[in-house]
Amino acid sequence: MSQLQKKEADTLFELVKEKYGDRVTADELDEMRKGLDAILSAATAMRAVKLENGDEPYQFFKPSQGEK
Amino acid sequence: MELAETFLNRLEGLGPRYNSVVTVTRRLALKQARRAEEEIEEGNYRGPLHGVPWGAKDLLSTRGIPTTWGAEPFRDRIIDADATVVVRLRDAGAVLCAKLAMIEFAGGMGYRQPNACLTGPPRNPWNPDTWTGGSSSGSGAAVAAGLLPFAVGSETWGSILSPANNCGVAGLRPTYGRVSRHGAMALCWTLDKLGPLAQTAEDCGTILQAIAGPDPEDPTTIPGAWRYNKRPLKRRPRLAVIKGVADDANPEVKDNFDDALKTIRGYVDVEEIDLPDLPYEAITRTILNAEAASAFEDLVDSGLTQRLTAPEDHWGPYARTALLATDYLRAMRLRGKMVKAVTEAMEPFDALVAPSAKKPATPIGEEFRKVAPGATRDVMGAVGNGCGLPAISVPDGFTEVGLPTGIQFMGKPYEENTILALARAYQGLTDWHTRHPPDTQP
Repeated sequence: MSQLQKKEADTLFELVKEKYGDRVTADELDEMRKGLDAILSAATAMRAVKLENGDEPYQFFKPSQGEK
Repeated sequence: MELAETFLNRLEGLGPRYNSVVTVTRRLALKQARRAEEEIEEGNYRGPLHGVPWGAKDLLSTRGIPTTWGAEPFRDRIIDADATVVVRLRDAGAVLCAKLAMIEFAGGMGYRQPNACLTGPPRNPWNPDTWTGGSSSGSGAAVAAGLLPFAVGSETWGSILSPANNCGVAGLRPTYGRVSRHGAMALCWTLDKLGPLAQTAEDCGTILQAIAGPDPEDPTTIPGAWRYNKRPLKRRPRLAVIKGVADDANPEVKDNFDDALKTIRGYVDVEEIDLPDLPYEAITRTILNAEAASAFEDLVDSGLTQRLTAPEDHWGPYARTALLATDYLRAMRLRGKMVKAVTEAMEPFDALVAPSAKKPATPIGEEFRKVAPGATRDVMGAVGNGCGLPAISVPDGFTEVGLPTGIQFMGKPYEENTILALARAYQGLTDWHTRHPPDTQP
């Protein structure tokens, strides 16, 4: 994990802790951190793939369900 | 009536042994069975499911009957409407006998061990000290133990194929959009599918025909009716195995898969292929995490998850609330690349083939994963669910201690008939599906 990635993970984890920290034990907090690291590791793998400006999300928006 | 009574008695007598049943719907079942009997006697035969008992994974809404989503806080909750699948099976004359156990919120809170259901850890009829797989746990166990002829489960990632594998039954995950999800719990809108678990591929085809088809209540449904085609494939099928897909599987799983390939090689061509280098698991896992975080946001914030059965489900959903919108959108953009890559790779073939799971049923008291979901490799699950591809698992053997293993045939989108024909042909060459767990008498 690069320094920047670690900083991102730390910052996001602070948000999670702020929101839910009072509901969990120290051990559970550790597990939550591992969970967040797994999420960010997936993000890192995806960010390594080059995308073009025109690569749209694979989800098609239709103004309505009817056909015109 | 006799058929319904038989299965109701088995559900009531044996259901608790496997923790596989949430609610036995005796009164409704007898009413539906009586009606079916009268209609058949009058010559009004609705088709092959008329009078046949079935069970619904307890994330399908049923009018007047609790729908718990497998979660303790919803033990008595009634959603007073029938899911489209429930309506379709009623119209086909099938008899709803039970709401079946499932992992709480279909595993959407990140569970790591079997004791994650309000009905207790789902026990495998082949060995009650092992797990059924999940999240359609009761569906797998009930079919395997002969508590019901078939069940309808759901899959977001693995939830039909895993119990089909562990319980030694057939489980069909249809193409995304083939079956309406109206009235089913949403875990991930762009990944959720409903499909049957039954004794054979043949049964799965018959059931899918009854539940498939467009539904104005679910805008993702595929237009046009789907018909089950019982004819074999006209050409010699071509199957592909992703290079290394079984390398990290349990040795007995790998041996049974290799034997299955030997069995079918006389009738099909099998080739090894490589998929282009993309982070398949990361893409599908990120979509799952982001959509689940949103689907359950209010519920998680309310603190209700603190009352779930599995301790890890109390805190499991918290971390993913920090997932960035740009990462979700990147996953959805990469999904397009994944669909294109997989479509091109599969183009010359009728199906991909692989072990249904990398290991047989694990001990009931043991964590089946020690790390966060998504950290282990499952390219078939990632690609199959991420691209919305149909797949069927059928049993392909047993381990030395008598636990079933499975083989999956994964097809191109909308090609359920192709994978059903392949699985049917395999079941015509083997007798694994004719074996049943010992000691399933009440």
